Amino acid sequence: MKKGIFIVAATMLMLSSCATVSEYQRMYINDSDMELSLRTGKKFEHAFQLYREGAAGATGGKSGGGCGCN
Amino acid sequence: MKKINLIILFVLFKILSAFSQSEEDNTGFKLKKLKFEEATLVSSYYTQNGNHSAVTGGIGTEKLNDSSNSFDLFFSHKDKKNRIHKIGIELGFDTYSSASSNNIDPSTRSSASGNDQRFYPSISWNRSNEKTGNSLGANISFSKEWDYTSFGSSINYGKSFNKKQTDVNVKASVFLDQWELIYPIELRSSSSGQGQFRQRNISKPRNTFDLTLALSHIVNKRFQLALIFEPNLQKGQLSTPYHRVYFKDTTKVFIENLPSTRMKLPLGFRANYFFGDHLVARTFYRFYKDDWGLKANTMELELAIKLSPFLTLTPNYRYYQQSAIDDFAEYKEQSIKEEFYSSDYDLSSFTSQGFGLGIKWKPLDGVWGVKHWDQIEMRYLHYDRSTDLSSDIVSLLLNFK
Repeated sequence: MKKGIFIVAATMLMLSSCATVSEYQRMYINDSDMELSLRTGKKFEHAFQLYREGAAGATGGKSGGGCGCN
Repeated sequence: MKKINLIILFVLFKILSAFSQSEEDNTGFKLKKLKFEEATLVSSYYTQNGNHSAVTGGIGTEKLNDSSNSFDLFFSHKDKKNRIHKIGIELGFDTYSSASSNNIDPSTRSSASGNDQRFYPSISWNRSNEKTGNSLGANISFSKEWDYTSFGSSINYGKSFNKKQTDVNVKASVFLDQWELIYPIELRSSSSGQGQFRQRNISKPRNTFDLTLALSHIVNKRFQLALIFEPNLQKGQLSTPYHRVYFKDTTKVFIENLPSTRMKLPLGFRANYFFGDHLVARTFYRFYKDDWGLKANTMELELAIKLSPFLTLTPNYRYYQQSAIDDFAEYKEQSIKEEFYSSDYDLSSFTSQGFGLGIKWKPLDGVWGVKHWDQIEMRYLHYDRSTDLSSDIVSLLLNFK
């Protein structure tokens, strides 16, 4: 619970940044290695972790359900 | 009479003119064309070994090999309102062999459980409006393996604001699954069966309801982060019907018995930073807890080292720690008086580490000069769990545009 509150507070603090980044300034942000979702190549690495571990979800990928996994 | 004939002729003339076509058709009707965007093939080979199989009550081999393949196609179309529609089709096919699943019926080479295939197609649609920053999407999926059938669907909505520096996404998913109850062989036979486990073709529902809330933000030119909260509720057949449990106060074999509902609360945090011109650091942390008593922490760090604009190395490390569920106990450690019980080491207390390396090649004129072959990537991960389970996985990704 405390860890969750810390994560949310840290995120809100970072979100309060006032820097405006225009479209033409996003060459680093738009790089494919900067994407915030789960990498396509990690798809099956993530899948076996759903079977072998009790925790699931909040990764941007599959979260359980649709399989006999955790 | 003449008036009626004129009216009839007039009506006939109007009907005929409605079906006529002038030489210059100015209706503006154009056949919709779907534009091919990309195709991706991901294949992997996974192998594991350990000695705490849940099928044999927390002892015994966990040897397993799995070959997974997924083929994705993406198309797009722009409508009259300049909204972009994206359609994705996924076809997935896995095949595995498992020494522990074979022990559901150890006296024979059980073909249904020791070797199995899984087939899982899905279709997705997404519509985005660059002007308003809104997006809407939906997905339907199906999955079939020897004892498990799943129908899934989801809808999602997204909104960009703050000059497209901040994105909010909401996704609701449901999986309506059926699990065929295959019990250990000794509990099925009519002579030694324990009544309710005698061989019957019974399937029970196992349903999952998931809500994803994601917030992402560009902090500056080189730094962006995301927060994901994904509450998840599972109801129905949550115990694995062929997982044996042995007790300290009886010689009888039982099967795993877990609560029929499970509420999961994971909270994930991603932060990516671009250092200089050649290095990206991708970090991930997740805190997880559920009402079975399990708590977990996950930490990942991946570096994307750009050796050239076309070649990238991706070393990565993952650390995971979890506490056991309240109802877990090792082989012959539990009492028959307990209401719920399991010896599944996937739900025990452990730590794990993953060490991986990937290489990605994306040349300007196509891989090996093949024009539409956009990218090739290979990844390897070694995984060690403190319960003496270890595994290796090799993945290959091919991307075509």
